[in-house]
Amino acid sequence: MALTERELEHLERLARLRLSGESREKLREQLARIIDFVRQLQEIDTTGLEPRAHVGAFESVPRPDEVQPCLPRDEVLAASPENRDGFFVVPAVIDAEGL
Amino acid sequence: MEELVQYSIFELQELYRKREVGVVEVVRAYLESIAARESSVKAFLRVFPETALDEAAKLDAKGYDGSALFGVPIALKDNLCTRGIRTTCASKILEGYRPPYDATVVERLKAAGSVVVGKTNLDEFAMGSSCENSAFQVTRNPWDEEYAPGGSSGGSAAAVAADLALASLGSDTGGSIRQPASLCGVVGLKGTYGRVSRYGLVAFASSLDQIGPFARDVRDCALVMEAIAGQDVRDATTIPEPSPDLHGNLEKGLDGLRIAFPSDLGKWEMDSVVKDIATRTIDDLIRDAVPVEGVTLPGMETSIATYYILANAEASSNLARYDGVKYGLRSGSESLLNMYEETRGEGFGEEVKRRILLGTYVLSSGYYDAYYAKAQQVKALICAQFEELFTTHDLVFLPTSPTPAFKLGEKLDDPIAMYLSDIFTTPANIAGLPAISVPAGLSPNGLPIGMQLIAAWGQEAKLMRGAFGLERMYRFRERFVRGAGGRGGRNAGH
Repeated sequence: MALTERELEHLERLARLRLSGESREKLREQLARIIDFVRQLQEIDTTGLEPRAHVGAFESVPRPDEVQPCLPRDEVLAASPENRDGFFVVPAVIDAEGL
Repeated sequence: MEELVQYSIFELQELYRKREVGVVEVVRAYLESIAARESSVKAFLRVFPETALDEAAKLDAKGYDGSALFGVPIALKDNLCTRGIRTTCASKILEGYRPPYDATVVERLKAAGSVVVGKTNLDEFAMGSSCENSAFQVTRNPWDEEYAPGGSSGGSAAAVAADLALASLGSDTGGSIRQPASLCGVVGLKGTYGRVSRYGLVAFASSLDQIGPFARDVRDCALVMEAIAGQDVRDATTIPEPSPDLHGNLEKGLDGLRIAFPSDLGKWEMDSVVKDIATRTIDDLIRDAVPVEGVTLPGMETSIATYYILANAEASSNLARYDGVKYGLRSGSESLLNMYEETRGEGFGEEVKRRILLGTYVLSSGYYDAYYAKAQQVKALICAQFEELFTTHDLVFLPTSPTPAFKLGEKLDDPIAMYLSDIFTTPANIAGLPAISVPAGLSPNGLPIGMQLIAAWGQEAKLMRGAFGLERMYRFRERFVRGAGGRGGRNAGH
């Protein structure tokens, strides 16, 4: 049983990802099957267990709060599709139709 | 010149120490090997002959200095950042990306004297088990080029198997070092979670990802691991204790180690030859008076589902940064949203999109508790069960992969079939435990099969000597891998 069109659009919007063409149909069906597959976990008895995020036996290890040299700005900006005067350039953020 | 590729890291260090060979000669031998075989194996996304020879010349000028990996030609999976050198994660979205920094492991490898010869192919963003999800090329298994090398670190595994590099680095989130190691007949190691710094590893699933080495034997693998392991202030999840010596006690082998194996091996779907090798190993261990016991292994029923929830949830978060703003591909310009959607729609391959959407689903409002939080509880259960098991046993023995290499194209239509190939590898990722694949035998049509060991948290030393013991039992290289240039069951494409 595939995901509904509405469910898929919701996920696309959340993930800022647009699917197109035949991959859309295929993914709708495959995602439903995968979700079915992982749903089996709900049958496992996990009463009393705290969700575990980290496996290490130690607490978070911070570094000293000292200024260290960081990445050279020009080198970082050089990787960007568009930049100007030390800023990344993007389409208008505030726009009547956009967001 | 060709014979130079036959030497292990350990043997080569001896030759360097005695000044019987120079780094330029060795690097040249590997570059010749690449020239001869790479066009058919396609392990590399890019090779650096000039830089490698330059580095080699500098090392020769300096002379052998006892550094751990002096003059060792090494290949790096293309999700490891190399400053100024393209790092693509085999994705269109990062096609031209040049990182402004080296990953910690790259810095450490260079400090240890090794020579990077190239960046290897992978499944896009490390998502896959066959290297077929790369946006750029398909890598072939050097043992038979119609077959997959495994994934996601297929390029790194194939490079070592085909003598295109003496060792390589890969990354393992759900089995992506161990499974290709098994399919390509080489040793592949994933350490305890936190043993190796992830700084500079392009993130897939931050609570699971670990970088690790491929090598032709256990001792070489130990030497590379020692060079890259250890705390790093730039990765707060690295273990603050000193890393163990991994090669000093190898000769002890399986002495004094208590082994657990899955008592219900018969119920898991796998190739009969994989089952045969596993059961024969257990019989041989019993014959050699090694204490072995059949147990119910933690996580076998649940680890794939747990893994695919946790890993994909974390991936959906980690891959949000590919938005066309700071680096990589940019498409669409009507609006910011349009740019995000077009960039990501165009730049990501299907498997990546599948996993991001699944991850988004399990984290979304209304589903978070049922899926993500639940998976973390199951993770807690699996961790506790392993801790319990390791109070009475030192190592867990089981197959690495349910099958030898499958044909290219065979599993592409069914993602779940592909995911099931991770059944034996995901438990160690979920519990953060060190695990290794050691080549054990060949299938009837000449494809390698590896066997796996898992150790308790932090116990890589026991893991490595257990692996050395298995390696001695299997004699894989002696039986199946011939001399220089003639490596790896030469049927096709040689």
